[in-house]
Amino acid sequence: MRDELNLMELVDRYLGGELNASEQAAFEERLRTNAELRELVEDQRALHGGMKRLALRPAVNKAYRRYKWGKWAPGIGGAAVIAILAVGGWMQAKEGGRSMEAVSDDSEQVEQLLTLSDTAGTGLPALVMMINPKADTTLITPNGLVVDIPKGAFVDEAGRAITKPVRVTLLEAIDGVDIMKAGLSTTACDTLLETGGMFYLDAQMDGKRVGIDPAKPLTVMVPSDNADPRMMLYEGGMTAEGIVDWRNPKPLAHTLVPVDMSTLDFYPPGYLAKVAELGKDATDKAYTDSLYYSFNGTTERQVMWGADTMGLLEDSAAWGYIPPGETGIEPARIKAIWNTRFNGTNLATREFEERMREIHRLCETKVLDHYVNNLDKNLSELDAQVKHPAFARLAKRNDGRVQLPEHAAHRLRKVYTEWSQRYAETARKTQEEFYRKEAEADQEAHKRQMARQIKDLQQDSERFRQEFTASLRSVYDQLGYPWTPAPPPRAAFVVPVRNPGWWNVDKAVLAATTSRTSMSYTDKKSGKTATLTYTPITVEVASKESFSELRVYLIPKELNSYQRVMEKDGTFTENLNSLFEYDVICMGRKDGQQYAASQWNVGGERTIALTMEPTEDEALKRMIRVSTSVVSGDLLEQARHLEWLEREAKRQQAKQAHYALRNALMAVVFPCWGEGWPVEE
Amino acid sequence: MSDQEIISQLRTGQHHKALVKLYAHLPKVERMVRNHGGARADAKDLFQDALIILLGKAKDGDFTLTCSIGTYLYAICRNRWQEELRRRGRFTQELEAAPDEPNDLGALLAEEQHFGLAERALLALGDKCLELLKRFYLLKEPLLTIAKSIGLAGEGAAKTRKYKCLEEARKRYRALTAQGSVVHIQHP
Repeated sequence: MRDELNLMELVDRYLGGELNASEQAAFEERLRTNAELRELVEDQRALHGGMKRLALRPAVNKAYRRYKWGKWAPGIGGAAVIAILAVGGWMQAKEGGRSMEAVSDDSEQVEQLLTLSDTAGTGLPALVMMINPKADTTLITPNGLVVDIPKGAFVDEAGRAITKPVRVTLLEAIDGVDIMKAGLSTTACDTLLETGGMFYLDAQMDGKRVGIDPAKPLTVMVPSDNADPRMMLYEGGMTAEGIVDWRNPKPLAHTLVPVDMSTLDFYPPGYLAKVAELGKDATDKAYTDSLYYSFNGTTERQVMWGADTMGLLEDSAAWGYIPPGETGIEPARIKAIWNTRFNGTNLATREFEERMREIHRLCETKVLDHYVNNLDKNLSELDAQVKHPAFARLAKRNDGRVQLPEHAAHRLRKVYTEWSQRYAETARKTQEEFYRKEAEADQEAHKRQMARQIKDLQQDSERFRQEFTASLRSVYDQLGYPWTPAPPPRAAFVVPVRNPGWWNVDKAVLAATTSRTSMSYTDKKSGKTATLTYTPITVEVASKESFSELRVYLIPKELNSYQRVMEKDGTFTENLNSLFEYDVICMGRKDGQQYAASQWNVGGERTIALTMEPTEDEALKRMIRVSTSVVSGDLLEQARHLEWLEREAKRQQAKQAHYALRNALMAVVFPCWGEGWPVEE
Repeated sequence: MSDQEIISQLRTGQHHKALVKLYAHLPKVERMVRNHGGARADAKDLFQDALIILLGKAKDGDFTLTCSIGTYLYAICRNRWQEELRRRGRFTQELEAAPDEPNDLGALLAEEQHFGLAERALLALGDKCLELLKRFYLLKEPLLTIAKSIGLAGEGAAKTRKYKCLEEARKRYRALTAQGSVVHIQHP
């Protein structure tokens, strides 16, 4: 057996992909030659598949119950019946029953009996089914009557739980026609009753009627279109004349049926619709939850209301700041209850889901607390204590509660308090952290931009000084003046007259260099003429709109400097000084990638066409090709700056999108956000 | 909810609402089965099997629908019911297929048929065996943990018990394979 055991384990590992390459090769070689092993692998593969199906099946069954349930769900809570429990019976079923469906949580099969031998008389078809009393079973009849039989509900004469199959017979007369056809009365003594439907339920084992454990009562739900709170439950008894008389009326306890928390919607009304409208995935609950819960805390509302996180909150009244609590229910409180921990309580019911919508509209946290802190009370009782017309209407429905184990309400109340505080604190910290980081990033970005601008200004001044000096020297040479380097102008638009010499010439050269236009100057004494020539150039970059950042630079080879070509009216244009030879280099960013293009020795052309290509730093250095490391280093620094600008633009974009999304959702998440008291729908 | 939204919900595990929505296609399958010699319960079993197949496929990252989900589910049910009718020797005509029905379901259905029989074989095991196998294969619990949970002496005992349970499941699976039934599972 040990060998077989090991072999099975090996097959498990093979199927689970746990063998290493050599083990797998050896195993597959064995497979190729050993038919018995192949068979074992196939069988185990099938069993693995079967196991996966087993895991998926409860979800499919659960959805089926919900699907059946949904067909008549509007009647739940409004069920109004006249009922007779099986203590003698009020009629007998006739031959030829109908089938009903049973839903059971374990894998036991349910035997359906389609005919009956012991029925006759009423004209109502009997629904009969053998059920396994060891499992929870739910019966759903063609008329939508639901009978929930908890495991262990049926007991024998000694009160012991029955374990053998029990035959359940159900007769239903829900509408008037059935009731009349069956000859059933609707009177209690001499009083005429309005009926919401009748049913008969009988359970037998080996031909003997069985009892029901009082601690595990069956739950019967009858679909009803009208929820009349005056409806009562009557037991039927047979009079001496053989007529059913309805006695012992009891108020109908509209017991709540808990559902799984995850199937409920506790978001503020309209939240999911708004999320979808904003183009987000409203079907992804993990996302919608995370988004909703992130609204917790007052920091953001204070920021969005006009104050900021940097200490202006003391003055918030001046901004029209609305104190928290009046704007809506804090998401942390919802997070605390929308949790499987509260499964099986009043909160995990469709009835509470309705109330939650009203609580959101009311924006009153204390109303939510009222329901959460009283899980052991009927919803109708709690409704009546909320002084609001919507809750008064709900109170009339007489909705009951989910029965809780002892002390559970107290434990859950504590959980609610602790969790809402914990979630609120976490959300507050997260929000404050977010806004603090954004504020820091904004400050850092501002500092960086300023530093760059100052450096650019210094660099351009230096470039101007060099160009002015070169132009002036050329003009002096042309006029035959001796060259005495003058101190450079300190700024382009200020004319310095610091030497007694040729200030007229200096001024003309300064004006030409500043405006970057050609000039001609004739010396009146010598009659000599000097010229400076500027030639216009246009740089066209293919698909320039596709780049998030784009810069064009001119590098005059004779100067230890460079010059940025500004974009005017959609084109990059500049005038080139004919004293120099220029290289043109263009740098840009797109989708996180650096692009560049260059053309060397431009001058004659009026238009330069460049096509940008993805370019690494080394290639960029080769394009720059200047000998001085200062220019090369500066331009590479410009490339790094573009990279940062691209990242910063993305950050700003994301920030704006974040604000826009949250701004759009704010009024939905907090229905009383700046709108005064909510309008009741 | 669009088909794609349903698929993505099935994929993420938040599948309850999507599955409930999919039951809207059950009545069509019921009509087909009842019009061709079957009962409503047969239709329900077929349909639930189809849902399980879809759910399993959706969890495979590379699954793409080439038709609507309704057509896909119906196609699975139609093919399987056709096969069941043939097996019963009661039907020789082809059941009508939808125009855009996928035509590459053969291999998938053959494999799923084996998985379905294996599922039945596993369900026929005792509770303890099933629990042990579920814990080991589905919950991936170590044998030592399993041994502690279900009251076995130790890892070795759990290993031996697992082997015996698997061997028993295999025996039952082979017996079912020999019968070749398609739609016999009744899952209440």
